[in-house]
Amino acid sequence: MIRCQDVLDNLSCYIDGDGSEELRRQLEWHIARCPRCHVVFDTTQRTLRIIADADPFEVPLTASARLYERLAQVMARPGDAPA
Amino acid sequence: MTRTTIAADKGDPDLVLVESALQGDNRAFEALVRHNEKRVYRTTLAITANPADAEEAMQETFIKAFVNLASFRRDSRFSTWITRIAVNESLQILRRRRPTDSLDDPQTPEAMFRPQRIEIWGDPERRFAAQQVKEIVEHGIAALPRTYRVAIVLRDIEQLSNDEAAQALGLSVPALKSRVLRARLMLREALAEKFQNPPTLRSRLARAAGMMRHMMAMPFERPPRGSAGKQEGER
Repeated sequence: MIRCQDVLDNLSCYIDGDGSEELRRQLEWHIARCPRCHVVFDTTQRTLRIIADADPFEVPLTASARLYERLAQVMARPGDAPA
Repeated sequence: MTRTTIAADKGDPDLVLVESALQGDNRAFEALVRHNEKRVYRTTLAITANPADAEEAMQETFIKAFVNLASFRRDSRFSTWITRIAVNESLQILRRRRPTDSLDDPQTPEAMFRPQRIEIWGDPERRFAAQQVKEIVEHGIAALPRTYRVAIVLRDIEQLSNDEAAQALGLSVPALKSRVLRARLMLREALAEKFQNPPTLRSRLARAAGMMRHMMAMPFERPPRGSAGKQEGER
């Protein structure tokens, strides 16, 4: 029988849809019945959705402007064009 | 069929731009930069943990990519190739600034990944403004050990596959998966501190009742085929 530790070890498999169908069925069975694993699974899945939706760590506008400036200089140097 | 059409058929829109850039179209390269700058910046920031270093590494990444574009083999997506350059540039800066730091696994004790906060969350995206959620997420990710931080950024924010993220970080797929799992559990724990509902007497009782039901139900219910006969262990 699948234990809580097995759920934890295979949480990524379950979330990512990896692993055998048999393993997934057993994890699903346990998660549906174990309140603790259910919360851990649900909140991990929501963590991943929230961090993707939050679009964190945007490039600062000044950093982006300096990047294009620097690239323009490199592009203007004839020796540095991609061969 | 031209090489460009083959590239487009593989589902990587950047490959068409690569072909144009190789023929001297600098605007095509600028479009490649626009498509990938956020990904590159997140990677360099995840590794260097310092905005100025991240910016420097980002510049070096795109310059290297421009100068060495011809060496890009089309056996991976362009974004994976440039992420790999970003990882190397960031590591070079990291070695210069903090020679003792690396991307090696920090050998964190297993107990660090054991979930502690197991209250339900309600609906954090309604309870908090989008900007607050973003700050909580950025703070949580920034607080992760470097190794786990970069793994979750590539896998779960940039949505690279396990293979692509492993390739970009120069890791085996099992090593990458293990870091991603740890990162996910640690980040879940950090976010739970802000997002979980405060435990009430009712929620504690409900959980205790759930545990009781769980303990009583488990031995009698049959899991789907193939798992009978093993000892029941930890709950």
